[in-house]
Amino acid sequence: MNKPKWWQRHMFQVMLSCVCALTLNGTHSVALAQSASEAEVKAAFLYNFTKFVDWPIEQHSRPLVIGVIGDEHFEKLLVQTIAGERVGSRTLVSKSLTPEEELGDCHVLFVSAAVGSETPAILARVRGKGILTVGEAEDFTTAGGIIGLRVIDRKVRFSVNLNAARISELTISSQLLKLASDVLTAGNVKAR
Amino acid sequence: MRLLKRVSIHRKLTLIGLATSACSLMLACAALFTYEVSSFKKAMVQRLTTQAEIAAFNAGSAVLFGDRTAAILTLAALRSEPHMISATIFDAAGSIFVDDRRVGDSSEAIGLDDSGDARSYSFYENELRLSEPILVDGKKVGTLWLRSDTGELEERAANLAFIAGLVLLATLFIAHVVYSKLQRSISKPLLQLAEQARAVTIDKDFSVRTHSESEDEIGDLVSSFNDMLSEIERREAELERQTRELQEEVAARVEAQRELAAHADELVRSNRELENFAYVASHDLQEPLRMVASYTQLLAEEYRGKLGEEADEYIGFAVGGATRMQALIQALLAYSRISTVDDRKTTVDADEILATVIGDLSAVIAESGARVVTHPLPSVVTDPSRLAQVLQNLISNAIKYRRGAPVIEVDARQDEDQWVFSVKDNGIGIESRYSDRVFLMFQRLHTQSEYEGTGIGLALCKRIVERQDGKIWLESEPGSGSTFFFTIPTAALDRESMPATYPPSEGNHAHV
Repeated sequence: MNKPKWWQRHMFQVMLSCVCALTLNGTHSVALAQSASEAEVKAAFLYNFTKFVDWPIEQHSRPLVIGVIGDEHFEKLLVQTIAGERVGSRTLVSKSLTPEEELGDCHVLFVSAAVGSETPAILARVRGKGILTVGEAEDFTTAGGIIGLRVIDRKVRFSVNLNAARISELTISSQLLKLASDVLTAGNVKAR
Repeated sequence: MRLLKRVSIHRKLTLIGLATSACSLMLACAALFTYEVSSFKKAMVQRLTTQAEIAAFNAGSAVLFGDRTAAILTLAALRSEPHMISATIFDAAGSIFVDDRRVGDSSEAIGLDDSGDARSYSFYENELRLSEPILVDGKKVGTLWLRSDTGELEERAANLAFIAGLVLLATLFIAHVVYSKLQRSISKPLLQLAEQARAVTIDKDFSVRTHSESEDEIGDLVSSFNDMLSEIERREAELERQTRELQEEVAARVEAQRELAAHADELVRSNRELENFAYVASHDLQEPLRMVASYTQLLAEEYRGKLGEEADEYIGFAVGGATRMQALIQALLAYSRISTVDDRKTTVDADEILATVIGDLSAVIAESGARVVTHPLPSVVTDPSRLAQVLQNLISNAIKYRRGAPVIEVDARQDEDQWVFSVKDNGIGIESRYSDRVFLMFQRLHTQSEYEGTGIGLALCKRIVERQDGKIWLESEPGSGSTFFFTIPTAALDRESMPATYPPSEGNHAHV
């Protein structure tokens, strides 16, 4: 019973081969991250967010619409990302919008960095309408946006404004919240 | 099994009991052990599965968003599990996403062999390996791969084995004590029985008895054995008694036989002495008698008419007496010679013998006018001169004791294993009360003046016939004649040479 395990007896060899394996895998992982562009990652994030968010009942019309404001190129990328994908039983549709257009029939609204100073106005328009707003602006969440995307250490991270989500009657899964770099609640900011 | 042959029965019984207990116990232990181990394994798998499910659920978003830090944090929750060796998350492409392992564990991070959607687990060496798909929104985004060491299982198995061993030892010990006590009820009476049998065989002691309180087959065996011993004892005594009686009887018989033999010897000896004496006496008497006969005859011839008429008559008496005495001694010598001279047996034709006898007697036959009727006689094995003596005596007697012209008939017939010869006459006959006496020596029914004779002839015949294992007797009616019979046993030689039945014939009428 107490005899040493095979790996204990051959610890050195095993350790060596282990290190080699890890190094190789890590290299592969980094290469993958570098090969995918920032936009691609953001598109994937946008799609993945839909899996962790519950919309109010009246918004359960299908398909799930993702609107993109101010970045047609990103919209085209998004089309590729969501092509053929489903969330639950719903299909996904994306459309490119201008700030002036009607935004109410969207489920997700991506506000690109190009929108710039018009962002607060847009957020004000969709506030409380059950739309998940995702933006690239640095102060997107503090301005009332729900999820703000940022690049930190060459990695795409996101922050969540739970207060804004509540106002929009959206429920965000704790699975997603735990990944957020910071979460804004009613009065305080929970930082990771 | 050969070893068991020399082992005492009580040890055998104990061994059988112990072996049975050990077998059943080991079987029970093995079943329990197998069940315990398998259910423990099942529990282990169940527990690991639960943990994997939780971890996979928690890791889902982290994998999806490529957040290694969050994934590592998820896996760190598994570290509280003491048997966890490593937890690895593979991404959807099958590459390692994060790898968390126990402190001190440096085993190789093994690539995922199966990236199927289903959960799978396997026991490999000392590990339980489980691969759990990480699903987000029903879609597989990665795989959680857990390795848990089965030290717990081994520990438990060792404990079980140890307890089973203890139970086995304790049971065997108790069983040994119990069986040692119980088997006595079987082995003790059997051993006593064996001891008893040994006592019977070696010491011939039939009085020993075994007692058994049990009323089972062994009790029956013991009582049967005792019954058998009683029976043997009884028979032994009986046999001994009979043997003793038999021995006594044999001893008595031997003694009697010895006495009988002594008597017979004595008789033979005295008989021989007597015969010798008779022979020697008659032989030695002949010489002086011849002298007396010769000189009295010489006296009669030389001095006839010279000494006066009276003297002639006296001398005539003396000559007659001497002549009779010579005949008497001749007869005595012939009689005693029968026993002193051995017979010379040979196959003889009785017809020829009879013819010779008739020839020898022709003078007497002619003088008396007798007629001898002969029937064909067989060949017999005997001494020819003896047979002639017998026939001559019988025919002479028939002529001597005649009544008118004698008619003598000689015949023979076969009766079983002997020939019966008969000589029949028509003479004066013999009263039946004398029919035995006539065969005794010097027994005469008539005076010398009536019929001359020595009184030895029939005694001689009887002696000859009896020496050849035959018999002689007579049948007679006084006044009408008598028939003398004598037998000669048919030897094998006769049966071969003679026809089985002799054809009866009217006979040859010999007129001489």
